[in-house]
Amino acid sequence: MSYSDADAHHGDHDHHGPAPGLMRWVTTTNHKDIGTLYLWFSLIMFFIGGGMALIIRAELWAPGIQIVDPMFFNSMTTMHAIVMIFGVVMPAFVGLANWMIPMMLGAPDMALPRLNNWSFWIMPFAFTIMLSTLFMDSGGPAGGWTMYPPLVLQMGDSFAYVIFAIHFMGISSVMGSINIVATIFNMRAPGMTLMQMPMFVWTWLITAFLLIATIPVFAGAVTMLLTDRFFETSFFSAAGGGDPVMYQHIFWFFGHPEVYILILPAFGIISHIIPTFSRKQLFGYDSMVYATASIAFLSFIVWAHHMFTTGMPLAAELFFMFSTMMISVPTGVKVFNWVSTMWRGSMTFETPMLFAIGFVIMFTIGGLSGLMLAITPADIQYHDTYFVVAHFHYVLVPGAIYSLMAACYFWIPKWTGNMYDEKLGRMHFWISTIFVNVLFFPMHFVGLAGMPRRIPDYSLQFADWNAIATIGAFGFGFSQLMFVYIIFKCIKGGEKATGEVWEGARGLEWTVDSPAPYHTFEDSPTITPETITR
Amino acid sequence: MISEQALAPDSVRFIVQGNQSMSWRANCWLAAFLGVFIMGIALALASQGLWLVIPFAGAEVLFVLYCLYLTVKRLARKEVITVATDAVKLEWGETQPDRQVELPRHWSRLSYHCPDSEFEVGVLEVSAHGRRYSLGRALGRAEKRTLYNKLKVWLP
Repeated sequence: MSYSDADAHHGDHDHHGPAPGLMRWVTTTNHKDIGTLYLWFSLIMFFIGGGMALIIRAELWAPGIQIVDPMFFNSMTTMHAIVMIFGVVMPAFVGLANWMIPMMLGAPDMALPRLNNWSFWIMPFAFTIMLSTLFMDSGGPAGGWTMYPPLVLQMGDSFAYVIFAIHFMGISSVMGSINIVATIFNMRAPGMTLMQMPMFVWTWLITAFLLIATIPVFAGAVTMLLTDRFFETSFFSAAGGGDPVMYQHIFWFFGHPEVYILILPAFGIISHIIPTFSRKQLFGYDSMVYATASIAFLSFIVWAHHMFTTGMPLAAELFFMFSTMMISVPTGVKVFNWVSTMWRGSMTFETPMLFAIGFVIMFTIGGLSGLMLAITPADIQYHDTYFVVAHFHYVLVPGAIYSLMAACYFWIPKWTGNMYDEKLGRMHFWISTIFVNVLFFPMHFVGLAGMPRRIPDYSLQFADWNAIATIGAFGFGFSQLMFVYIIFKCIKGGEKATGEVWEGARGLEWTVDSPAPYHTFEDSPTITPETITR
Repeated sequence: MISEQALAPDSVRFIVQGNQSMSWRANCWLAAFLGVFIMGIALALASQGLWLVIPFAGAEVLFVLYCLYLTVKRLARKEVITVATDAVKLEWGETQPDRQVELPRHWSRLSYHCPDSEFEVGVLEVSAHGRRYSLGRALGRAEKRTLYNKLKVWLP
């Protein structure tokens, strides 16, 4: 269309169109493009990290060393964790934040679009460096993702690459978080107060604060490891007057909030899906916000529950035990609110809702085993066993990963303009749910019976449950190929989605067309009771 | 956002600005909170001998300050278009104009061109005597068209 009253030949500086071809993706500053890049990156990393998990489970199929040597097995456990935490769950949530936060707030884009581009493009470089260590002479990191000294300091020269990659990941996370904070505070649509923001925005705001607060601590910790390894310092070397346990304190001061960084955005996603498919407003919006903030606050004062076996004064053990148990209160509030939202709702069970309900049930199982681990005398028995592995995988796989699957099914019609194949989606859910439980539930049994984690060989008594877990792992892993197929099928075509997509959907993102236009909210949207989610 | 002020029967002023949902002052409080929190953690760890956290925390605080400053500065930037009896006055700035241009009203021409592509937000310009100035840079496609329609009443 053209409204020219005079020719405009010199206005190309004002064009906002993307570069042609592949350069569109390299130079893009559009929040939707960057969100898409993050989501594809995390999907690719999901299969890389998943492949590592299958190597681990294949080795554990039977007692004895059979497929990989122990050093490589340890590299796999370490890399699997690093890839899944920093390369899958975090980037996927950042991708969702990029796509949805500006649309939920009625903002045209993120506050700092160029920074946004940088924060994404640092990630592939960081992970290329990280994964390349597996092909170096001294091998990849094998001391666990926690990188405890003095074990990790025995690593070869590739250790420097690992630390370099971790710094890049941290820089990317900090950039993304600052952008999110700046966007949420400064770019809300006129009339949208903080207590009218969608829950996903609230949970991401709190997550961004956690990241901003903890990443410098982690950066400092790994740099001290680097100087201990290469520059003769003794921050964590007892021989030089340092304290290796101090590293554990500083690591978990970052590491425990990191756990909530991985789950708070999931809480936000579930708080959108359950009301939509229950056709009710979220029960207890205010309490949800306060519970999220409480969890974030408590995450800073519970770190030493990861270290009960290092030896601690009794008062400290009691403090960390009770503070950890207190987290179950705001978490319980959330579960109660989700269940209350469903109560007497006109529920339907589309794929996002199935994944959301699966999340609530299985995350609660992971939460309950977490509560068991919080009890100091019990934890001393469970420590470093497969019970711990079962606990955090229940929280992260049917927890964080399920919320990501739910989010993809929930919002993909808005992204592509097409509905996904509902029948295949439901099949994906049921197959995943069966296999994820076959995979992780037996780990409780072998853990309680004393099977240690991060060991490629094990006692004969654990053989049966390990074989079952391996079957579950391969079933779950290969069922995710269905997810990829469903996504591609949806991108390629399918039933056209309306703007609202779901009957009970509320929020500004549903007021725009499907697929969402490249530039949304060119006119500031009007906030009405129908467009706010609370 | 576009706000319109009638100055006289034959003159009008349009103020164009991005939507800013938090004030300078509130942003300062946010920056101060983050700074104190991050540096508090860093200093506590430094007191235990882990001083290498301080440079990272310090760099991050500076980066947070810069990003918030940049965001607020961009959002606070205004474009004031005054159509007076004989002149079209364009001013850009935050609280005070840092750039001003005056064009003769009766020689000024308005142009708006927007290709039929979802990627484009369009180009709105005012020109006179071979000089062209882009208008509504903080606006999206629909708002830019609105500004064009409003200005068209006053300019040929």
